[in-house]
Amino acid sequence: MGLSARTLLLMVGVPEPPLDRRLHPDLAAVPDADLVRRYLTGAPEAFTALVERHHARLFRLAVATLGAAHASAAEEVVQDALMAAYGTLDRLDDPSRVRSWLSSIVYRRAVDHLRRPRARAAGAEESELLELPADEAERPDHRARLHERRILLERAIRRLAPPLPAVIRLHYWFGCTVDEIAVALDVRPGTVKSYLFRARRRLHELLGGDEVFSDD
Amino acid sequence: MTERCAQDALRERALAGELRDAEEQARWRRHVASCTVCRTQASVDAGLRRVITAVPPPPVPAGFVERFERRRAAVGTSNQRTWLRVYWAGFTAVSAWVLAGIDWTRFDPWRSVLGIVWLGLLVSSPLLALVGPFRSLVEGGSWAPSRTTGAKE
Repeated sequence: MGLSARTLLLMVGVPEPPLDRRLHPDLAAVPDADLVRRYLTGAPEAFTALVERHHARLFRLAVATLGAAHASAAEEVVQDALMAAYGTLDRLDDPSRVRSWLSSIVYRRAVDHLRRPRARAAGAEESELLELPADEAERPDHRARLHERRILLERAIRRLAPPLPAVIRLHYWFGCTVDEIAVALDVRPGTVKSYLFRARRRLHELLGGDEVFSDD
Repeated sequence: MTERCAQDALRERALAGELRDAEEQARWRRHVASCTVCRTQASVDAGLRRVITAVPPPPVPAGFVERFERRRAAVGTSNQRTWLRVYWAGFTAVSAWVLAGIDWTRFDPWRSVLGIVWLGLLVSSPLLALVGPFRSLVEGGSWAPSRTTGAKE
């Protein structure tokens, strides 16, 4: 149960290792369920290996749930969720479901974050956050119109009922497949398709008259 | 706009880019030309792909795992938390037993070094659970679902 030398160095603030290096490369091929079992038998590095494997997907889920205005809080939400999971992993009935279990904690924490009045007030303006990447070849008027449409779209997505905003952003912004979204939200793929149908229909109601989706 | 269309499955596969067969693609084109529901869905789908991707999503912050590892290291392992709970449970039980057995008419803790130490532990032990590193050690995280259930429909 003793602390490893690496852990001690991290605790006293020694500079971080290179970012592209895995902290536990020896655990990279170990299945999720085995990592959970190893952690529960006193190997904390097994949990870090889970974080290494799933953190990018969990971060995407947090950003998709929070939206552009609150995207800066995504890391905090995911870190807090992972710490909560770290303290309660022994409650997980089926270790093979750890992936969807972590997703559910992140999703709920992101939704909770949006409900907080302080978080709502702190949300930045979409116009600041949704800056289009530089493109010299693009005409300025076209670029301005696209920027305006992107902001209108983000506002409309925010008006959708949960979990439709997350589903739309995961599918269209992050390019996740229906199956990936189903795992992230712990629902059936058919349910995700139904969510997408409802979200597109509602967005058409909200934005159809604004020609946000026209080709021009 | 009507609620549903009989070709739901075909539409979802078409919008997901899963129609590889030329005959199926032709069937989809014929259908979408005559179905308002699917035409609207396809139009919004194309618009979403064009507009939402105009701004790339934020990348995963660099050093994410290292920052988590630092927090995790400060919290302690599940075993450490278990032993800490065992310690507090034992301490509480022994204290209750001692308190119940004391003859308060004869015992004056302020005149006994052992009594003062014991009172100090009695007071400081629960306080330690509320402050500083002990708090995070005990909590390890404030909330998580109790079962495997996740975000439900």
